[in-house]
Amino acid sequence: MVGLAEFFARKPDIEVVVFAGKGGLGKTTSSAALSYHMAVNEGKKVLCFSTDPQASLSDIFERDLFGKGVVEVAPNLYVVEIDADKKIAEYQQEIKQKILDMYGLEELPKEIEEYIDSTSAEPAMYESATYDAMADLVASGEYDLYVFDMPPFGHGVRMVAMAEILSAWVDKITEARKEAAEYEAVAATLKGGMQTEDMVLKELEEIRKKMTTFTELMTNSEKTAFFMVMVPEKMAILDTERALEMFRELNIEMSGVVVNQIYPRDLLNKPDLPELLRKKIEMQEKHLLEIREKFGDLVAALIPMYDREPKGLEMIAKVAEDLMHSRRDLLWW
Amino acid sequence: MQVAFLETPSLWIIGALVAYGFAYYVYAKWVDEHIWEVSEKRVTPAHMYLDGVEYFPVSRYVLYGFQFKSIAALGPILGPFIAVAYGWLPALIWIVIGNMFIGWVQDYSTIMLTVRNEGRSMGPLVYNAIGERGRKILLAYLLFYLLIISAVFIYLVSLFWNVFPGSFIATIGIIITGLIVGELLYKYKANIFGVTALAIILTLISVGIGTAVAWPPKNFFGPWSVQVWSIILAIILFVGAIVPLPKFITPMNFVAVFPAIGGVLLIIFGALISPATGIKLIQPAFKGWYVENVGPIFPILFVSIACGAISGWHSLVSTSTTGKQLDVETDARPVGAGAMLTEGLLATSALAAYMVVSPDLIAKGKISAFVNGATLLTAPFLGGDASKAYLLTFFSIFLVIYAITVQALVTRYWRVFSAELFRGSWAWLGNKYIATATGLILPIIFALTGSWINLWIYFGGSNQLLAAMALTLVAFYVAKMNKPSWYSAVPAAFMTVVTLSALLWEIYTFGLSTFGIKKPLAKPPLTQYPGAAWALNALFFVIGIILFVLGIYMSYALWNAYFKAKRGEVEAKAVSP
Amino acid sequence: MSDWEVIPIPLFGRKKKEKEEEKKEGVSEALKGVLYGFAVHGAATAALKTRMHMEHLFMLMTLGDMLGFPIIPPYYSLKILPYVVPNIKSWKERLFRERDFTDLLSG
Repeated sequence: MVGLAEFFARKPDIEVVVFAGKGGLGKTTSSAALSYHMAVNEGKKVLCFSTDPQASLSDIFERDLFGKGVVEVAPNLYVVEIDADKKIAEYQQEIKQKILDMYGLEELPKEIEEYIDSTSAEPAMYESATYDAMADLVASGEYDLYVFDMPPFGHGVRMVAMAEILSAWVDKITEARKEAAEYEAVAATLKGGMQTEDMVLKELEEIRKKMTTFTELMTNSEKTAFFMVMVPEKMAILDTERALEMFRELNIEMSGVVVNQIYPRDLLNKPDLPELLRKKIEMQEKHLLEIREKFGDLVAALIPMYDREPKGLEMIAKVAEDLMHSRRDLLWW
Repeated sequence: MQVAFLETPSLWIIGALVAYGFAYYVYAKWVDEHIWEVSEKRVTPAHMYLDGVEYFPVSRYVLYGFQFKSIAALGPILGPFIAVAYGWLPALIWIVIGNMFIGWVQDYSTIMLTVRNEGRSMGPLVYNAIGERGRKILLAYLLFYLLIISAVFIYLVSLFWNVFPGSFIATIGIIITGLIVGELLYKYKANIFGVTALAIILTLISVGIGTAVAWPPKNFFGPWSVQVWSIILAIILFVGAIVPLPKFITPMNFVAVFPAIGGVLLIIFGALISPATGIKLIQPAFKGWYVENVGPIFPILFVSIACGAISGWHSLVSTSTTGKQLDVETDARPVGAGAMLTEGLLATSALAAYMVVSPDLIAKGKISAFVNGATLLTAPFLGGDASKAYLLTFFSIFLVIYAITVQALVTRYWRVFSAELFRGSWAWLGNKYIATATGLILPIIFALTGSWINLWIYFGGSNQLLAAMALTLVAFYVAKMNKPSWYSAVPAAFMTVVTLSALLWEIYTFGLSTFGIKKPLAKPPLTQYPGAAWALNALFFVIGIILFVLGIYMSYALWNAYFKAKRGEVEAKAVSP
Repeated sequence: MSDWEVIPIPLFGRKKKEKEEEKKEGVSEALKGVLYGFAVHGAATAALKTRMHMEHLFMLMTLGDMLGFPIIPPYYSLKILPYVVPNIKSWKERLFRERDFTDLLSG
């Protein structure tokens, strides 16, 4: 029996679900569907999170959510679609204001201002801002389940790699900073002076705490599930293999693969099937068998190709049903 | 107990004080005002590049204390011992004249060089005068110089530990005091005055325990006792060099300060009141122009009283730290000249200690002479005969602690320089552990001959040659400013001639043994191994030639630059890369 | 208490000390100064220098991309930035200053 219901029955303590994969393969749809199911059918308080600049959660729920903060779209179902660019701009402004306040300045030194502005151009800035927003939301602990629609940077797993890099980095600077402070303390004692509190170290510890808590949660396979969303196509298979490799390197357990856009088997029995579509389905069979062979039991859910776009709560409910309990006629093996 | 005033060292100490007063208040003041034309208004690098780390203005009192501590080591204390071999009068004359016209000139002027050259230290100053090759040669020269200092200091500490029973235990007591002080200061943030009091008490107790135990006895480890002590010292220094500064070196320096200051003050006081205590001057004023195993009075006398009259080491201190932290130009005289003339006073008081011991001790080359003399001068007002044993341990510890703290610094410098010099496939030689080990093992090998007087002359020679270079460098920059440069050029010329001659003399001495004309210079037990003794002599012959060649190159290049500057042909070079 | 030794730059995000008051130079001040210089100044300078090297590392890691060494995403280094604003100038100066082996001697 295929379907996420089985997975959640096996792992009742899951708090975070991440859908990763390339853009346009159904990540956002899967996220929305799972969130809907958990909120409406199981009565959990769910937060569905997306940063997709194409604003697809807005499309799915047919409401403008982009950059609007947390919005309740159905009972217990909360949705947030981060506008990372706006968040970065606000963050930069906050930093600038802080400098002005701290030193009682009228205006920022030119060099500092230029430096702050230049950071927006960094692609990594976008990732970190997203990551930070996620960490903040999870840290709040207000929801029973967090569903993340990972932005299409790489495979989304990069986020976890970054968590590790950042954590190691903060470890290093904290250490360097502590050692530096120790020598400062030495100099200060020798001079008979008093030690002053070190704001930087405090700030660093906070960042670090946030990161480690989040990373620990993300790498705990009892609490966090990662699903790769893919379609039965050659490129997607290759991508998913690569992603699996990355997961292994990061010591993260990949919970499963969600295969999307599958044509039902009995379609082939239809006599009036256009030749083009028949060819396509035959191709798909080949790919599905390959998926079966390569990912085996990892295949967690099968979602059919729908006759219309998955939009609106009604349609989402349908997708949710398929996601939780996959249709038998999609099993090609 | 009353003795005639003139039969005591008192008058000479007072005479030297007057001479140093003249040097400070008249000559140095004139140079300050008319050559450098110092002004409180000119901005110093400490303000220009203020960063709170290397560059920051420090009050002249603090800088004076710092400068004095950095320049005062075993030189002014042990140097006069060798010089007294010619009688105390030549030694006294050279200490006084050297201080008045050469010593402070270098220390003060090198501070001013750094102040007027955007805080540059010796290397870049040399680079600007004679280019990159000169800078590299200076580095190579300094490496040899550090090795030789290390050889002398490690050997002498080992010798003291061997000769004075109990001095090792007292040293360990002071090291433990250092560790306790370090913990209290840094870990428990204890009050500095309380810690200071504790440090002094524990130091005095350590000396007391050492005196009471008086163990191990002389030659405890058999004929190679001094070498075994060297290895023990090397291990202590190695640990000191690789653990973080605040764990060992810094608190150790802190603890060492108090016996160092106390010892100097006691000796000076003892010498001044010698007419009252009845301690007589029993060394002959003049013994001869040539002393067997030491050499002719010229040039040896002038290099033997290393830091007591003039020392190249000071130019490194002045340019690397002091010049960067001078608050106003007018502080250069109290700091640079003031500290040097105080050092002159230290040398004079050490000389006083030698003046009162029996000529026999000096003739036999007994290094314990200083300790005996200092005890003689101070015992009368510190409890008389009853305290003699304690004072003997105290003054031996005084020497040991001076030597160890300076040596710890020298070992660090060696490591830093090695890391700088050895690059590429040689980089492993600059590795923290390897460089520290070589910086300790090579000197122990150097010191195997046991003829520390020759090592000392190499040390003095290379040290004074560095001073000659610094003085020539000063003359170059002064000439470039179109000011009278003779005040530095004349001493520079004198020092160049003296030091190169001294190196030649040592090359000649070791040459004789290298080529089999004379027996190798060595002391028991090395004498039992003539092959090894010869090899070491040959090594010193080679080192002498290397030092001489490096010195000749530097002198030639610097004098050349100086004369060009005098003819107005010098264009300022670009700043070093 | 030891205000004869003024380090006017707050080294890391700390409030600037009020400008030290002008003080009269008494004999005891002078003596204290000399003793401090003799016993402690070298060690304090050495400690500051070691600290400076640590700080280099720290600043390089946090604000490396300011000098063109991209080390980490700047998102978190921006958080630190306000505290180190007063140090940036001297840090850059120190980093780019000519450094010779004879500069390494102090301490």
